[in-house]
Amino acid sequence: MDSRWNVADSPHWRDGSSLAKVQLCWLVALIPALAASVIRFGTPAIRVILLALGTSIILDALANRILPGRDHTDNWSSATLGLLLASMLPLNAPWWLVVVGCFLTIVVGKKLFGGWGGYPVHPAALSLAMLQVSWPSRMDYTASLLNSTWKASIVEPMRLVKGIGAGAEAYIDRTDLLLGTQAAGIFSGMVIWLLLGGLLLLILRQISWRIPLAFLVGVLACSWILELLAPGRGASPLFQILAGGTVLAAFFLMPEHTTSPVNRRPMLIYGLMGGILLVLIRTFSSHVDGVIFTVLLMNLFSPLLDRLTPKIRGLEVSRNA
Amino acid sequence: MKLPNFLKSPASRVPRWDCPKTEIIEFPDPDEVIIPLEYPGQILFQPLVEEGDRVARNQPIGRSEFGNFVHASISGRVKEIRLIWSARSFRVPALVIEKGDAPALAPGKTLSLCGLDPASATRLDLLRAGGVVSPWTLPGPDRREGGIDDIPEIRHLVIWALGEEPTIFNYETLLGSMPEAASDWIHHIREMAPSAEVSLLVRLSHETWVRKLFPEDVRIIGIPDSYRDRIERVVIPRVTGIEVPNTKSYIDYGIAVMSLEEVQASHEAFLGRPWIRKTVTLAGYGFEEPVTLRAPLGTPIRVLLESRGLTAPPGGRVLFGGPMKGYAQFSDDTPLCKFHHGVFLIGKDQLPSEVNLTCVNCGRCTEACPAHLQVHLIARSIEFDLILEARAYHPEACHDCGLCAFVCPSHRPLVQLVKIAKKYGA
Repeated sequence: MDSRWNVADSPHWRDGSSLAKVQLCWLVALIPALAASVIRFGTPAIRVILLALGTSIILDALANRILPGRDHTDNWSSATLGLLLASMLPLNAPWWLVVVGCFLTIVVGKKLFGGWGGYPVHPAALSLAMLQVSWPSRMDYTASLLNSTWKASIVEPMRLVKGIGAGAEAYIDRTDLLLGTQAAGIFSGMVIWLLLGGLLLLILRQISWRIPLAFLVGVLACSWILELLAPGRGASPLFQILAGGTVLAAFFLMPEHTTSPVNRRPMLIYGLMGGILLVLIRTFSSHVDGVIFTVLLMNLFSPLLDRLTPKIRGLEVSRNA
Repeated sequence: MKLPNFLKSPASRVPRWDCPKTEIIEFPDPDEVIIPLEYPGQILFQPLVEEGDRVARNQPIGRSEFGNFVHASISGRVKEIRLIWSARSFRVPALVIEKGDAPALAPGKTLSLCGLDPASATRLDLLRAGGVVSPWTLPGPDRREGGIDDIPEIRHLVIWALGEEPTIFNYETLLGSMPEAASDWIHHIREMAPSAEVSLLVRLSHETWVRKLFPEDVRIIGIPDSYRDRIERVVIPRVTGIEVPNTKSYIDYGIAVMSLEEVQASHEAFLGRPWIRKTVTLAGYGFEEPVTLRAPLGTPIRVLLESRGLTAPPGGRVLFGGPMKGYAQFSDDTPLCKFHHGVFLIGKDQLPSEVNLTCVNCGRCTEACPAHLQVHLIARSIEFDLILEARAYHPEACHDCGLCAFVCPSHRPLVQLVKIAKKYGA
């Protein structure tokens, strides 16, 4: 018999998933918010989004050529990271800021740590934090909207609350916040469209419901308790959810695969702690919106939380203590 | 209602095949059978015949240290005794029997050739003389052949009347084609364990009609269609309420696990007829639908496939077993044995991808693992030669079910990596 067969260990089936498909799901989930942003802001939004997308992919390909690894460019992860970065950049970001941001995301945040699967913190969040610290005036969402003709407030909602206390909420319409008429990144404030995308991720089983839900519950609970203890100090629970990048963080930054826990209880603790931390940073620190720092801090906690593993079934009792 | 695959959790995406055929096709005697003188890694048999001897069907041709027998499944002449690769890649001696026309041996004759007197033989002797690899004849750890004295009292008898794998239907078909007889077989095997609680595992959708057929002292338990709910090491603790450590044998905990066909073979063995034919479900590449055959033991896969007008797909895989746990073969001469329930073919264009990208920590393997192992950490540790770290995650609890590798989006060889962790320092 001349024919040769392929020999391998079981299983001989795979479920048809792949890294590229995972990232494509994330990209598709970002599309509603992205489209809403393009429709609202037009060319300036398209400029930043395309620049970030293109630069990220090119940098990823170049980095891959210099340091070949198993994180290939065709897995779309650089596209998702580039889009997430663009979502949080201000509308008037100069081209060099976008390029530097992409470099920090792809080369520093991702490739230097070994690519997708190796980095300890979310690369886009890392890059954003570095940009915010390095060029605070360039990262000002309020300034980016000076030419807009909105009737709604063009001051960043959390900045307003920080400046004049919880009374500021009276100046801001909740519906505006929900629909994305708020001073924020290019589409980090498109709350309802991000929710839609997050829902899509949940339905497609890309993320577990545990992290987003625990995160939102953490935000609500912590801000509610703060409101009871120190009325007027911080924003109200609903405002905390709708303003700034809370929803983006809940569905797109916190549950990122590499940097979030994989076990069930750790996921819940991770989300809950993140929510609480976000409200504490927003209320008591000098930073306007603590989303990025929350994500970075919680990412660092995730390996520790993941030590809380479920009980292994099928061990001899003495060893399973 | 059926959910589309991408909406299900990854671990429940293992497709469950349908089996419209409900009869077992009796396979004629092939020109040649190859009978390994082993039961995989557990029993070795000494040949009782020599090259050139004439043998009759049912004649014992090998005997083990503890008196288990192996029989000629067809009549003919012993062409040679040679080394073959068995289905699980053991290098073992095997008897090759060329088909002849001698009549089959009568039951009494078989028993006397095994050195038993039908009037005084115990049930255990009969099981061993019948070549039934039952929990009673293989009481040692992991069903290794052992002495008679170390069998504890059996409190649970669990009988599988469905396949664990999603493409194997031989036990379902066996139950469906002769339900009344199955009731007799179970009645008969109960005599081995009079005080045991008997559970019959059937497909969930068959639970109602099977329950009508059986006396009330048999628990009929419907098992859902999803593969994750059928993995043996998951099902047995659920059915019996006893957590059996993965490294221990069921029999140490008073649980006897048998397939319906083993029950049938035991019934026949009590009547003096040895186990020489095996049901097997053929499915996969080239098959329109799964087919269940009953063929003489030792029939090579090639002959089974030729009877359906097929050959092993070049460049593809030939599996004994199913797609989740099956063993890939490198020869289509591998003979059908007592522990083979299915043959599954995978075409060259259907081969699973093995690109082995980096772990992205998505956690699907951990979510899918029925033993709740930290599969991603075990695999990563092994990749970086951290054997002791990997051992600390208890890879020995792994059931080899294959779900982790099935769901892995990075197409990593997770089962292999966990197996390495299991082997080293165990």
